[in-house]
Amino acid sequence: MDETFAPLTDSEIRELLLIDPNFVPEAPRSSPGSSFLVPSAYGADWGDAFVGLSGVTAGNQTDLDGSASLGMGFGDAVDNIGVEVSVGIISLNGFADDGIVGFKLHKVFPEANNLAVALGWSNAAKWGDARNSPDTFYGVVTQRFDLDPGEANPVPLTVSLGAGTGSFRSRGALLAGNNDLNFFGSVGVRVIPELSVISSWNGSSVGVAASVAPFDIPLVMTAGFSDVMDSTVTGTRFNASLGYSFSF
Amino acid sequence: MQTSKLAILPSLIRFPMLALFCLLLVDVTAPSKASAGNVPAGDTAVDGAAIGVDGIFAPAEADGASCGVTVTPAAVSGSVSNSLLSLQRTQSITSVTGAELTMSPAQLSVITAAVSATGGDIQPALTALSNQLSAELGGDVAVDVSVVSSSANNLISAISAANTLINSLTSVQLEAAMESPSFMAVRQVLAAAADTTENAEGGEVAEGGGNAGLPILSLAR
Repeated sequence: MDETFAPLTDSEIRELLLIDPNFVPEAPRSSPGSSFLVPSAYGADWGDAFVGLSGVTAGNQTDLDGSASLGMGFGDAVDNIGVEVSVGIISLNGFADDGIVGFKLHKVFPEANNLAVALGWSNAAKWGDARNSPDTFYGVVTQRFDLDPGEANPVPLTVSLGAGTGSFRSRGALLAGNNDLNFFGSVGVRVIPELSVISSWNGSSVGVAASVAPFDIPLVMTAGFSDVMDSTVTGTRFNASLGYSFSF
Repeated sequence: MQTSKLAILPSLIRFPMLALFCLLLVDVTAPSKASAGNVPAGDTAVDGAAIGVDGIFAPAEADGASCGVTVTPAAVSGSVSNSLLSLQRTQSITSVTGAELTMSPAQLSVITAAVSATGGDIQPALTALSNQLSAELGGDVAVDVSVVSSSANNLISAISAANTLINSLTSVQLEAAMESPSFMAVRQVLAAAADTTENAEGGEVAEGGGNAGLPILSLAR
């Protein structure tokens, strides 16, 4: 019997030699948030999209209200630049009567330990009562530091520092009615992979929050208090949000 | 391991408390020059961070945990060590084609020295392995070798580097790779480490192998 065996093709050999990183799941695992009421320099790339709902309790001079947002990304923050576009319904009292459209350009530098920088314009387009708000421009830098490097849970500390106008104005600027640049920042520690604790300065008050992502789906719940020192006229308020991201 | 978990506790408390203290300090001192206004700032949704999904958009390769890898460095290191011990016992390696490739003590020694380096100047061991791999792949390719510590993050990088190299090989080099005891041995070390993660938290540290690292292969430019 004449038995012949066809030699393996290059692709067949590669198929045999390639090491299957079988521990990496197809879908990324969920991760809790790293900032609260202020932006970070991380953003959505092409293929990323998100939707979310937020609620805030009544303050000294405001009522209980909610907001909704959805967004998606373009580009790639690692290879070139990512662009996140988001639409926010800033009040659920009269659904979609007031809203904004925002943009964020973001860039990640893998060679600098994944340092991320972003420039944003939160309310490039606005309607309803949102038209009464001044423009919110901002720049932010985010860096992550592993507190327990080399471990399965490296306990990442994520620090975001930025400067911006509009939503990030100081109390003095708010009183004076100008739109001067001001600083903001947040610090988040992912204590366990499913939970992070966050404190933030939004330019006029301090906030504290916890963010949890308890499921294998990218659903994130964040809850905390804004203005914990009760130093603005609105006072301390409880904020909660539910965000869901998906890939396409 | 328990000590390691406890050692992180001061940092877990210190950093958030320090941050909160600094922020509260700003809050207390700011009113002296900025009286309270009539509108709270920062309540407007600004981006994905406003609903907490920014953590998901953080670079995925930042840590193994975000990719679902929960294996410990000790488990990865133990798996590498066990793989080396198995090679030393059998003095051979099974190629991906099923062929049994004999390994000389000298070939094994070079691989073990590079991967199990425990400090000091490991460059000679890496150079020796680099030369050995280059020669077994036909001599017209230069393979750079470095070794990183065993961790989930580094395992992802090491496997990615090996696969990148495999995708870069020519037909002749691919044929040579399948018949190269050293290349197949390094590949087996990485594959064994990857298998360890399938049973996250599994894997034992073999005697004397606690410091085994992970080889990173790349084509020299």
